[in-house]
Amino acid sequence: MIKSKGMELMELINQLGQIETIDTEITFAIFRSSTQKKMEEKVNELINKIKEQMITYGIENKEYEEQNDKIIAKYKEVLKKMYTEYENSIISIQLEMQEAESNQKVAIAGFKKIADIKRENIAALQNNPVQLQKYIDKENACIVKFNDYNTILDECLIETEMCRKEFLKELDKIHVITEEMRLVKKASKFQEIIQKIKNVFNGKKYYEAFLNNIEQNILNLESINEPKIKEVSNQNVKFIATIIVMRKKINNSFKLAVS
Amino acid sequence: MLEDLDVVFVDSQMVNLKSYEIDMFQSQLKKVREKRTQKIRRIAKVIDELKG
Repeated sequence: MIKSKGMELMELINQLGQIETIDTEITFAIFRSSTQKKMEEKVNELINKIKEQMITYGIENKEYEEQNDKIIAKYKEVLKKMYTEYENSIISIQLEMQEAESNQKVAIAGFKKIADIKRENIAALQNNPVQLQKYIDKENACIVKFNDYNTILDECLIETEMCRKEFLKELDKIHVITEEMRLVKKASKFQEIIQKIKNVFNGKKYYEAFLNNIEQNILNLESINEPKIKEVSNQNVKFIATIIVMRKKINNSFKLAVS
Repeated sequence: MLEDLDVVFVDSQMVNLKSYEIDMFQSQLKKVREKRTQKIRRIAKVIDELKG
């Protein structure tokens, strides 16, 4: 009966590991799909604006294709740089989680080992209460270690979600298409004819001015993002350092309890 | 290039992330975490029994 309980415990550890692997995969999927969706919306907004402006100023696609592509590629590059920084943060948090989860399993396996020895020697230990207490203390130390690692896991879960939400918030703040550019004036038939005449002389000039504005806004975004990216990286380093301190404390307390 | 609206610019090991909805992932994650809590509870119970 007791032996099968030990086997059940090992089976539960195995199942726990499988659940935790799925948890990590879904957590990444949520981060990737939610942020990717938002980034695509941003890029598509720019692509559609470029298309709209080309129609407005009577511009042929081929003539500005290279410049348009360059601007879109730069925008993606700036967004991806931000994405990579947040993703790296989440990867390092998840690695800490995996470490904590492994240590929990080691604690359970340790508990089982001590419980097995205690059971095998129970007759002798009943005549030696001091020794028996030592085994009980070691069992308890394993349980405490397991529970303490839950604190690290909780912190990591909160930090992961915070990271994702913060990135989404940062994406919301990005506006390479200004409010002024966003306004589409409804033109009358007469105004359309006037615009077509204007386009013959100045269409390219207006379109190039639009592209220059967008290009400048993307460059501004890049320079605004630089300190933010550093901040995200520093925040992550600080968080991981805190987790390492917590881990050392837990392991030291455990060593002290079982020595 | 302007027609290339379906650009996926994040490489991912997950298969076709776009076909999934965030809500579905969130509810899967909720279920997985509930399952984990159940396993932890069971582990605690087995540990109590082994302690005797």
